[in-house]
Amino acid sequence: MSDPKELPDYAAATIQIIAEWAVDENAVAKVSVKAPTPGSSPLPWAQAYVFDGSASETEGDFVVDVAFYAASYAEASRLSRRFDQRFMGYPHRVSSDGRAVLLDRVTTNVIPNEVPFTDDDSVRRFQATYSVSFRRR
Amino acid sequence: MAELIRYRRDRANDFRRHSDGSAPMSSFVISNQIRRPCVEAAYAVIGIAQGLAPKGSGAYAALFGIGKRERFMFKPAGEPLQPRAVAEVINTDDKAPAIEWGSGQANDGASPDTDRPQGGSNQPFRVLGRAGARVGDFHE
Repeated sequence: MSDPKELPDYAAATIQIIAEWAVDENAVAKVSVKAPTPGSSPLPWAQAYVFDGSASETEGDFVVDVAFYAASYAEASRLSRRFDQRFMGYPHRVSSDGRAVLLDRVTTNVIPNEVPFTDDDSVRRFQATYSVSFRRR
Repeated sequence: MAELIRYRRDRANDFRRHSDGSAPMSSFVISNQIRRPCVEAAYAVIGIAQGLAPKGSGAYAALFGIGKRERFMFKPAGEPLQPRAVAEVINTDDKAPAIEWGSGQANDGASPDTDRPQGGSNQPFRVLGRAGARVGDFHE
């Protein structure tokens, strides 16, 4: 069998999905794999962090945390739930690093919920965890 | 005279929920027989989590344990609530949330005078998230 395709960066692919929606609606100031620095980073901020997954020659899955940071609970909650609604509308095909990435199926492992970020609550974080299956292509 | 054999249904295999009011399946699924493998899996998660725990995080790696919760109510789609046995892995370090999910405080969760490996931005480590996902491999 010939060598399988190199895996794309699925955090970047998820960021691309957030960015496409965020650019349309001007919803978030920045999308990143990193968390914002309180006081200096622009808000609202979105973060995609891939921390688990498995794959074979033809298919696989990854687990990603998608967090939205905003100045208020309502704003962070709204962004996280809007993204959840959009992300569940699979399949997704995005372009990441010049490659077409196809995400077949999305399951919400943990629904959007607040995970405290700063002690003084100046930045609120809403986070959900998704399991996403893909085809290596 | 032929012996009469009285049919008695097998409760384990002919189960109908609440058919006779005793709901024996419910007591079975929260029995020690079912919870014991949950606890064994939880100890496997702890072992993996201790291996994944970031270095220079103080007592964090030593503070994993099994929580007190033994059951929870599971709600399948379109069906009533059902009890399930459960074993929880917990970490009682004050810095556990910061290590698991990251936080807005620079170097939160690091030992004094030790930078977290990612620097000041405090990325999540997802120690238990990663360890919990691994445990299924032991039972496949």
